[in-house]
Amino acid sequence: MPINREYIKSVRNLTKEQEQALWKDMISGNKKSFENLYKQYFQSLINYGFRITQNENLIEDAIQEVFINLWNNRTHLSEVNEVKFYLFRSLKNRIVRQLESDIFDKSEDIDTYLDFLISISEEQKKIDSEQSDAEILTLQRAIAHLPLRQQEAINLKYYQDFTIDEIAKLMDVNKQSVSNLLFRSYATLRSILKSWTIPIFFLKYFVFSE
Amino acid sequence: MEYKFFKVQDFIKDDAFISWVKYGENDTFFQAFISDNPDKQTIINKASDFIKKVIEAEKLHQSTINQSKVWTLISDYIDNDSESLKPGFLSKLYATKWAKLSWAAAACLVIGIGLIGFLSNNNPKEISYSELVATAEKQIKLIEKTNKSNTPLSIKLEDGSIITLAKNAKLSYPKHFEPNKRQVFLSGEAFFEITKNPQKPFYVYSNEVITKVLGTSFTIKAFEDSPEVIVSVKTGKVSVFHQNKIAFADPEEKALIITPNQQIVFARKEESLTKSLVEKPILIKDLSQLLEQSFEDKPVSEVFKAIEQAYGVHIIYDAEQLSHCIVTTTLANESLYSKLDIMCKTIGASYKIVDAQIVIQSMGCI
Repeated sequence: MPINREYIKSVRNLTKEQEQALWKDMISGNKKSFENLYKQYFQSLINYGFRITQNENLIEDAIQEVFINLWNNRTHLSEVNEVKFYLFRSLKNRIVRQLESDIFDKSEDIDTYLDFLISISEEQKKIDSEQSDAEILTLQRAIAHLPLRQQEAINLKYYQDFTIDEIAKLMDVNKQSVSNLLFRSYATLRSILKSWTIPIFFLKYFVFSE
Repeated sequence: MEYKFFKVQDFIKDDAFISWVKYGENDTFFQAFISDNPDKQTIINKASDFIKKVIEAEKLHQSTINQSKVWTLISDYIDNDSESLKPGFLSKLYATKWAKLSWAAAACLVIGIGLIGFLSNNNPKEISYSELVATAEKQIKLIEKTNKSNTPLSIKLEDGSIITLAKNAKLSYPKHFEPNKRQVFLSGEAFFEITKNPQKPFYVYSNEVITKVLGTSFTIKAFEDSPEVIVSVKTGKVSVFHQNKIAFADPEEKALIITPNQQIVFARKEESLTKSLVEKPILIKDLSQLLEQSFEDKPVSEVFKAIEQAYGVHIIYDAEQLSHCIVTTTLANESLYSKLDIMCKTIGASYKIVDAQIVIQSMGCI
């Protein structure tokens, strides 16, 4: 039997129409819609923020600024039709600008990130000791070892549902480069993936023979 | 379908395929594709496995950033920005001010509340934007807009008037105007294009200066920390007066009236209103509308008359003294002042601006 953890289908959070309606209400000054918009994207933005920096304070500040700015400038924003893209780009711009002004943050702080991963893995072990989760954790660690730009690309593509076109704009590269980043991360992670479709008693043999 | 030729690396970046794996969208299509192309099953499994597992791994990212805590911060900030000027505590603040409590006590209270803007207001005769808004809010609810961006922000009012805020400018206005007047409150710089309505004059309160118009366009610069308030007119007629306590009255007999290319500078310390010309007067009439644009061996007074029409300015000169000054010139799009410079050089005269009028000083021509 392949080790294949039951995959629960995700549900799209908002349709384009719902998103647009929320955005329109927010522009007209509806604070409740503004709060809903915030709730809708908070987790995704945090998740993406960690692909750019591991500095939690910085991410938190940037998210605050993005939303305060959004509210204060809402009358300007009637033309935005890609709400999520707009929020992601503002977040990235803010974090990058902050990183550029803060020289100490320029070096990628690997240690903090490893600590962060370990704390999660321990927490995760307590919650769930199923093997499938351990596999996912292994994959998560492997992803964490990818170059940051590959991490950013796969986060935007698979977790955040952005199109290649949007990712190219967010990352300031062309579409081909995005495809390359996705392919390279796949190529790296493939060695881990192999074990998943192979019956467990062959696993040892295959790993050694590679 | 091109999917027939897809490899794993093609599937993993295909939007439709990812939506199917993640959300089950277009399921019929992909099921049909698999049964038509059983040889692709392995590749599809690999690709969908990769996508599913990566999504799961990405979901594991957690942080200590607390969603409701951050929301509280955002919400507080927004409320303070726009609602700090609501009645309630500010009107209480005024009660203490007018009750002649010492400014220091008031200042402490203000620091406590965090309204730093008040601190610069140590001259009791100076009126700040927030004081104006707080007083007005006792009668009518106001909406406040602040332009925090680098691009001008245009606001359309109920009556169709458009007010364009420069960076950092703030405007408070009611959603619906009172029946007999239109009142707005400004801090910073803004350009006003006011819809004509003689029954309902439009008032702009900016620091100590009140600008009254019936329908026109003009600019106001009223910064909290600047020693001056400047009102300059582009079209129409504007009357400007000043108040040294918040009265919302219309002491128009004290008003100065300005017309296009004129401005009023209010010196806040001296409490004086001075009328002058704007720094760069613009043509208020198309040159082609003028009776004459080219002058050949004509008395200089004719050129001055044309300039008066073109720029809406008033030129004062001694006609008799200048009667022998003959010039040849053409009016073009150059600035008013460079035109005057050239004219004066030609006839050996000079000019100065007095009370928004151009006074020509000349010994006459022979």
